[in-house]
Order: sequence, then structure tokens, then C-alpha cells
Amino acid sequence: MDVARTLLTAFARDPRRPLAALVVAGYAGVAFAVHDLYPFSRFDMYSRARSSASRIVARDAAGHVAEVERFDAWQCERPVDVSPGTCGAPGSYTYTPYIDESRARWVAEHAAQGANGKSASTHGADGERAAGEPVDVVRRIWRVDEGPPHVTDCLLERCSAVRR
Amino acid sequence: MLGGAAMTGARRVVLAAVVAVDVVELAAQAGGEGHAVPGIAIALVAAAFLAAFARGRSPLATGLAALAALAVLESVAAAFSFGHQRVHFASGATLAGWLVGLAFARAATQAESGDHGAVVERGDAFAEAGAIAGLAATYVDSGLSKLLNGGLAWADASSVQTAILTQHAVDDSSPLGRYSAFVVEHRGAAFALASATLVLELGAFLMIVGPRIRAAWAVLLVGFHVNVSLVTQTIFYVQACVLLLAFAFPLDRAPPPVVAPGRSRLAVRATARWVVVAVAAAWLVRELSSLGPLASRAGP
Repeated sequence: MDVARTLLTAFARDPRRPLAALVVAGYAGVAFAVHDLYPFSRFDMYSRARSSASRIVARDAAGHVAEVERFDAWQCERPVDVSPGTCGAPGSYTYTPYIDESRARWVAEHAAQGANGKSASTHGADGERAAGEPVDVVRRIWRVDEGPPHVTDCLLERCSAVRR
Repeated sequence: MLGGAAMTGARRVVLAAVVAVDVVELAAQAGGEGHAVPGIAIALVAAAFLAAFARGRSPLATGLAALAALAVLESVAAAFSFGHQRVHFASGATLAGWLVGLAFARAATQAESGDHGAVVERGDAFAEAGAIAGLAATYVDSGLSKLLNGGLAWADASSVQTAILTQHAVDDSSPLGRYSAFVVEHRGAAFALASATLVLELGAFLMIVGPRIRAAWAVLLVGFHVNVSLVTQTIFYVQACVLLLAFAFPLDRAPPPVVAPGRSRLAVRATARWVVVAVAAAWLVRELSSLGPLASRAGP
């Protein structure tokens, strides 16, 4: 008890320290109530222990994976659906919605142009198309246990695209 | 070498400049088809108050107004983009801490007669202490979140492995890509980084103790941010890094501000009361909002 009192007295010798301690405590107290209300946040983006990760990537005919941004002139039968239910039960793996959506958007926005100048990526375009190689859009899922991660690929869409 | 008041003035300008960078980025996020004008208008209001704050013109009022404008701008940006980008919160927390420090100084030096300059200088010292505490609190919160959501098991290697796999490009064959792959494939390395993250974040509280440990911890935290940016290549809290270095260096060698013991105790009690009120109000709002119609419409 005496030791605690001595430490507290020493801590409070500089009047800035009690103020600073109150600021830290107050910030935490408010942040844990409101979650994210500027300038308060719990900063809990990576706070949950996870055993899996996933990322939307492009896989060529040889099985090599690359970021979808390495390809242009995408031609797919349908829009790429990155909703988590397409690759097993939701919650069976971890995904980051905004990163997944940015990949789907890249494919849509970098579609091959048909002869009429319209996007040919997801509309079954008529007219000429840029010559592309077969590229699958897949969700690569890593499961982390003991040792290096185990990898599985979930096919989302068969497409063709031109390497940039 | 800058003196105490000049150093505080320089730090106030750095803080305003870092917050101004956030204003620009948030305005860009908030701007889009059909809603660019409100975002730009709020950003201009925030910038005007920040400029006045940087010049030291009624810093408590102008800083508070800038913070309020930023809160609105951040909400708009979050609604029209990918949600809250926490990289912008560090400077806001630092600014909020600065303002609490100023308010504390007013309570502590209220009705003091004598040298006006000395009173102002003490106010600056408390403002800086509050700012450092606000910045430290962001790290403490992050560490607490990990402990509350994952427990000590968060320091298990998988937390770092999955974060890197989610963020780092799969086809990166550069030396940085090989470094990331090494961490992912070697659980010992991932465990070491995860453990260090917890220690650094929770230990950020020590930055409020004194200038030497603040400087040491600031360097460690900047190293942490740099390492995170290397292994993910997408996450870099540059604003936090600038603030950590600006508030830790040069070392503060000035003696503690002298305040009459009675007034200091009164100021601590008054601040503690306000903190309790703010925290209680925040939890009350949280509870009330969980009963309201908005909550019933919320997803899982």
C-alpha cells in the first residue's frame, strides 16, 4: 500500500502526468462505447484471432496466380461475384470486403472493348475482342494452422484477359 | 534550438498541418457524384479553423471547431467510401488531447496574477502533454481491443500471418515480398512480430511518463509502423509517425510547469469529473441507440 502511494505521489509530482492519464483513460472509455466516432476509435481492425485469410486473384492456364491488376481487357461471361457465400459457408474463412470489391471493380472497369466501343467484359459483347489468354478469377484461401499455410482456390469466374 | 514556447508553437503548426492532410484526404473520399459540394464545404470550414489554430488564435475555440468539422467530414467520407479509415483518427485524437490540455491549463492557472507569458507557457506545456496522451491512447486502445477480442492468444502467429496474406500482393517477388513470405511461412517470426505488437501498443501508455521513455517508445512505434508497411505494402500510418517524431523530439528538457498544489488538484478533479461525464454519456448513448429503431434495422 505504501509502495503504491509512493509511486502515485512520484507520478503526480509532474502535474502533466495526471492530466495525461485522464486523457488516455477518457479516450479509451469513450472509444469502447462509441466504437468509431471521430476522433474516437477502438482500432480493432485486426483484433480478432484468425485462422484463415483470402484474396481475390487471377490464375493463368499454367496455374500461376497474380493480382487481377496485372491484366487488362477482361472478358467474362458474368460479373465477378465476390460475395463470401460463393466459396462455402459464410464464416468458414476470413475475407476483407473492401479489398474483394476493389478486385471485382478492377475486372469490370478494365473490360475488353467491343467493336462498338462498349465494354465486352460481362455483356457477351458482339464485335471484335482483344486477344486474351484464359484467366480464372479465383478466391485464394489460406488456412493457417501449424506450419506454412494450406492453400485452396475457389473458382469465381472463367475469363480471358491480356497481361499488362 | 527552439525554446519552450517556440517549440510548442512549432508542434502546434505540425499538428495542424497533419490534420490538414487528413482534411484533404477525407474531402477526396467524401467527394463523389452528387455529393462533392458538401464535402468540400465542410473541408474548407475545417481548414479555416485549423489555420487559425495553427496561428495560435483562440486555440481552444478554433481547435474545437476544427475537430467538430472533421467529425462531420469523416462521417460523410465513411458513408461514401469503404467505411472508417482509422489512419485519419490518430491526428484527431492528438488534437483532442491538445484541447483537453489547454482546458486543464485554464483551470489550473485560473485567476493567477503576474506574468501573462509564464501562464501561457504553462498552458502550452499542458496542451503538449494532452496531445501526447491522445496519441498514446490510440495505441493503448488498439492493444486493449486485441486483448479483449482475442485474449493473449492474439499473439499467436496466425494473427500476423493472416493479416499479411490478406494485404500483400500474391505475386510480389521483390525482396520485400520474400520478407513477407518468410514471416508467413515461419511461425516463430510471426509470433515474435505479434508479441512485439501487443507490447508496443499496450506500453504506449509509458509515453506520458517522461521525455526519454517517450522518445524511445516513439522510435519503437515508428519502427513498428514501418515494418507493418513493409510486410503489407498497403498499411502505413504516416500521420501517426510524423506526430510521434514531432512530439518526442527534440527531448523536452524544461522543468515541469509550476502550479500551485491546490489549483493543480482542483484542475485534476475537474478534468476527472468531465472525463467521467463524457464516458458515462458515451455509454448511455450506446445503450439508448441499441434500443432504438436504427438498431433493429442493423444487420448481424
